[in-house]
Amino acid sequence: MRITRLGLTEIRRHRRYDLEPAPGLTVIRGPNESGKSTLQLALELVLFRRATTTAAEIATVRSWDAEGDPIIELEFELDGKPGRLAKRFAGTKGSVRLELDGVVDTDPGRVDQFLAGATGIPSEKFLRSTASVRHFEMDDLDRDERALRDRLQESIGGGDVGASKARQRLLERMAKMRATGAKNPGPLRQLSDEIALLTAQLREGEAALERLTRDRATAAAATAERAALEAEVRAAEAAVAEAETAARLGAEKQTVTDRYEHLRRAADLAERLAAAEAAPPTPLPVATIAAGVERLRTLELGVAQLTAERAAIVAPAVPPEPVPVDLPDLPLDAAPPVAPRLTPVPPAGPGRAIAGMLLVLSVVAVLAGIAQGGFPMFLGLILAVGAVIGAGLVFRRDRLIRQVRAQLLAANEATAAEAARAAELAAATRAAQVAAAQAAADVDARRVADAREVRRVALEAVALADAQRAAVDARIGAAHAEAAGILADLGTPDRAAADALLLSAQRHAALVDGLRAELRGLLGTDAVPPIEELRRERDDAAAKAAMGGHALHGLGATGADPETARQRALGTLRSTRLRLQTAVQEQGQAEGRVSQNTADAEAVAAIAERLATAEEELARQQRRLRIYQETEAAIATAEAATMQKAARFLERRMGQDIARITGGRYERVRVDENDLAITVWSPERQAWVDATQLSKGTADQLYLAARLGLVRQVTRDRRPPLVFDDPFVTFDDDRALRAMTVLKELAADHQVLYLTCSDRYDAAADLVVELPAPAIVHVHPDTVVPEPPARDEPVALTLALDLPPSGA
Amino acid sequence: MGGPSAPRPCVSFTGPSSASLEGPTPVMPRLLHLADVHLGARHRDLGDAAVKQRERQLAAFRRAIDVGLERRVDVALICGDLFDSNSQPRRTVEGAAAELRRLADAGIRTVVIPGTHDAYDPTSIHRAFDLRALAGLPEGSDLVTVLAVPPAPTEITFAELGLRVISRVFPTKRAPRSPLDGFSVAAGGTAAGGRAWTVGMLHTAIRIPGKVETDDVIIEDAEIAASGLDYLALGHWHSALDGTAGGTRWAYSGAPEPVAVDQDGAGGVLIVDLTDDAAGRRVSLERVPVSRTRHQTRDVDAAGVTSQDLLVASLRAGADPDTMLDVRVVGVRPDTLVLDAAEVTRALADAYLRVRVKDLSVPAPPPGEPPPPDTILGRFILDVEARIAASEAAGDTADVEDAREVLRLGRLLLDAPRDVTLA
Repeated sequence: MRITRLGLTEIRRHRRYDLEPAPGLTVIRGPNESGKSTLQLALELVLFRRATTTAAEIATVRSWDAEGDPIIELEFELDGKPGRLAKRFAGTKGSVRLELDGVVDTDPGRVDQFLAGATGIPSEKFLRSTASVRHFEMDDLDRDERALRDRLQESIGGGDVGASKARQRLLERMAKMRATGAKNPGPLRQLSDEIALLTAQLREGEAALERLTRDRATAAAATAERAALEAEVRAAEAAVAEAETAARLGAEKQTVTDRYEHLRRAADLAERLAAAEAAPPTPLPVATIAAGVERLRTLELGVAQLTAERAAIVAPAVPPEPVPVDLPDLPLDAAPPVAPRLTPVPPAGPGRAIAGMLLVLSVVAVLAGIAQGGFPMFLGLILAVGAVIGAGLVFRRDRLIRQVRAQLLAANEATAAEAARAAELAAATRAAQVAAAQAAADVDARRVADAREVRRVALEAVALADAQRAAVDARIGAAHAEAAGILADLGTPDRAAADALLLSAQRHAALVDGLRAELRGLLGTDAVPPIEELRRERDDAAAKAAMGGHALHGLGATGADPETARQRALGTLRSTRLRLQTAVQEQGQAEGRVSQNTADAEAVAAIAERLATAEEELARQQRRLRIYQETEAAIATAEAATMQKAARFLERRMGQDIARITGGRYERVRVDENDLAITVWSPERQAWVDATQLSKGTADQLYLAARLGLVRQVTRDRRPPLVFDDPFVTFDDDRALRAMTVLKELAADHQVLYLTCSDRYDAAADLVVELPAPAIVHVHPDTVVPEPPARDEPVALTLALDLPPSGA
Repeated sequence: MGGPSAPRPCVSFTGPSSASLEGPTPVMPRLLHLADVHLGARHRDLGDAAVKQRERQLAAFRRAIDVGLERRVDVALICGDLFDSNSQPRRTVEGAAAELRRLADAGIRTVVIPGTHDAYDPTSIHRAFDLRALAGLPEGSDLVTVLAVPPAPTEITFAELGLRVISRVFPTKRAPRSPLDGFSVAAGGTAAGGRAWTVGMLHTAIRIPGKVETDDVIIEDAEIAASGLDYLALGHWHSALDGTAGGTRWAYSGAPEPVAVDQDGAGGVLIVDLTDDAAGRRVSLERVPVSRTRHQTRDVDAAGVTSQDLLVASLRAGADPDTMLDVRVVGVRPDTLVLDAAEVTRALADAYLRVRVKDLSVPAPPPGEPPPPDTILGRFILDVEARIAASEAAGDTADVEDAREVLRLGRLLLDAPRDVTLA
């Protein structure tokens, strides 16, 4: 794009001004306040500022006494075609008009888009960083080795500042955010510390709440357990009470039963007594019967004694009349010894015993008779005498028998001895046999005599015995007669019946007495109530006992065995009370823990909420940090990629420029892709030399070449007009001239507008436009303000005291 | 929802006063259905306003009780999460019990079930505290009943109201199965005969294929239909919702007071009329607001916001302590606008109940053409825009937001550094 005319209307001091720059290098010269910067500003406004802008800056652009809105017109050639752009800045009512190749467009957005495309410069800022070279850019390039690099970077930054500054700001800010020092911690550290503190508090609070809920649960469980155990205790107490009731009922029932039994027995006794009394076995009194029976017994004893006595009267057997033995003749031949024939020896009779008994009997009879006196005594004496006599007879007979027996025994012994001797001597002594036969005859004779004596004694004894029997029989008869009379009195056939009667009477009497005594003892009184009363009381007790039984039955197992049930219930009660005591303790402990636990859910909630807020803030800060990191990284990435490309581009482009500028002294240029540091190959030193080590003039030229080379790179095939705001103002003439030489070279591709106060560049310019100095008027209250200058004569009016200078 | 109905006297039961629900006279109980009060809730997203919000929740609960008294309901059903957790302090429980006492003093019965926040686990607040006792009611009183897990009652019959209330509660926060698994009023063998009503109380989600597939407690629509209940009072979802499955009408009352910012369906209770007249048996619902909290969503066009201070001033103009304001800054944000949503939120904290500011705006594209790609800024923009495009294609919205912020910040730093203040 080449500008053919720039028209300003009501722009600061230019009420109306047209600039028609040359296609190449135009030097716009004028003193300070002549409006050079206003021209630069006007160019920026018409190219990049939307006509409808409401920015406050527009108000400062407008001429102070403007009659209309600020208007900027731009006539240009683009690819050989003429175009015209006009912008009227009137706030939202501003307008734009673009005419190009017969096409008119008044849409601000489209026009801006067109201009960005036409110039390759999308924004005002981009213009300032690329196609507009400010007067300070060239300052101090020789003093600060970083300045050249930084400014080159800025020129490809695409914005107002270089990427390194942007990154530096981000890094510094991130460092502050990450700062962990105790004195000045960054927000991340502060938030982390706060979160750590709140987290600890929350953890503690949550733990306390957990303990609280756990203790509450324990207390609730203990309360439930306590309630259950209390119910169990009540149940056990009820069971105990029931068992005790059952026991009481049982006792009462037992009492009633005992009373019933008592009364039943009493009634039975009374009935039995009555029955016994009504049916005695005999009308005779027991004493009478007893006396009769006793007498009968006595008589019977007497009869028995007499009978025994009679039986004791034993007459000895009367031996037969002895017969002498016919002695055999002596055998002629010696006969074999014959076994002796022994005489049988009669046994010793009971004579002595009988005699003793008779003596005893006589003594008894005497004594009994003495005891009885009277007839019995007499009878006893008789009996005693008889007995003595009998005893004497018996004794005598017995002595005889004994004598005979002894004799027989002796005889038998002798016989035997003789026989033995005879047997021994039989064969030897026949004489002896004869003698013996004789002796035997003698013996036999003696034997017959003795036998006859014995027979006589026996006969005497028999006679005595018969007499004795007769006496005893008499006495026995008397006894029987008496006994018969007694039995008749008793009405019994015999003594056994009398005994039975006596026994029966005694039993009956005993029964009656026993029953009566039992009844009295049972009732505890001698006054035995009537049997009907006893029966009524008995039945009443029976009914009560039955009722008690029913009551106990109604108590089931408890009623069946109250004591066992009571013991069981007491055992249950004791164990349940122990468990209850434990439960009460546990409940108390749990409730104590609950009451001691000061944890408050709402306080913990407040901590949690503060924590959430802090975490949210931390997340926000972390996101912010992340954004910074990613932004810095993205910028660094873009910077690296851009710088690399720019470095290679500059190396290609600058070689030609440098060779031309330095007259071939330097031809090879190397650009560091990290910082755009420029080094040139010095043929003299045969080494790469940093640009900052070159002469100031050469360094300026290098910078300009690089600076403008970068403009070429970023604008590509576009050729925006370049505006220089007197960047060489501090240069000496030589240095300025050499720099201007570069611009002259550059003007072959770009239209260059050079704004300056100096005329030293006039020679190099294709066109010099001179701006007149402003007319300075001191306004005084008494001073008449002159007429404004003609429209083609820009005048700057500076009010004394308070109007700051405008422009550069 | 049914329309409002005029207050009416409490029904009186003229039949025998036995436990039988058979009765010669139709009874038409009126219920107050509420849930998810979440007393003592934590509001991590409310910051300093959390305490205020807890007070508002209690206030909404009080107003819910007021509604029950004004509308002279017969029974109040609190379908879980009366308390936000089992670790609530005693004063919170006592406060709730005091409100129930107000109902009891008017002869209105209250039935409460645990939820998922106040689950009936061993540490349940319903085990630790006896609501009935704290309400000053004697043991055996049916004016306050907590239906839970045996040995606690699982259902209660109000014979004079001809009303049987059934619940299925688990001793864990997460239910091992559906509370309606195999449940049927008829199958239970205790079906209310005659003209009596059977009402269920559950704290559960309803499975909605594709939307709600899992939850701590969840039931199926078919299970509701098979339940045979006349009405199923639900809690768990904080926004009001109702429907019908089979012959069963079901409803969520929603939370009386929103527990979170985005619960714009909360804020009310339900008046449930169980009507049996010549027109037949029917269940009608009326939603009664009890929360003063209002929700307001404002979209602010970033293009019209010249500065953060002006945005704060603009939003402050509509200050309302009962309003939860959800601000979305949308549109194209001018480069000159440096907006910190957190700072805006803090600046407006005293003007609204709760403010949430979300910056959804996008940076303004650079005027005209972007800087050439051979410039650092141009290259930077190209790189970051490529990242944005890739993230958008991948659906990574978080990275898109980050990348846009990177783009905006980098562009400002490289293009207009003086406009940037790095916080």
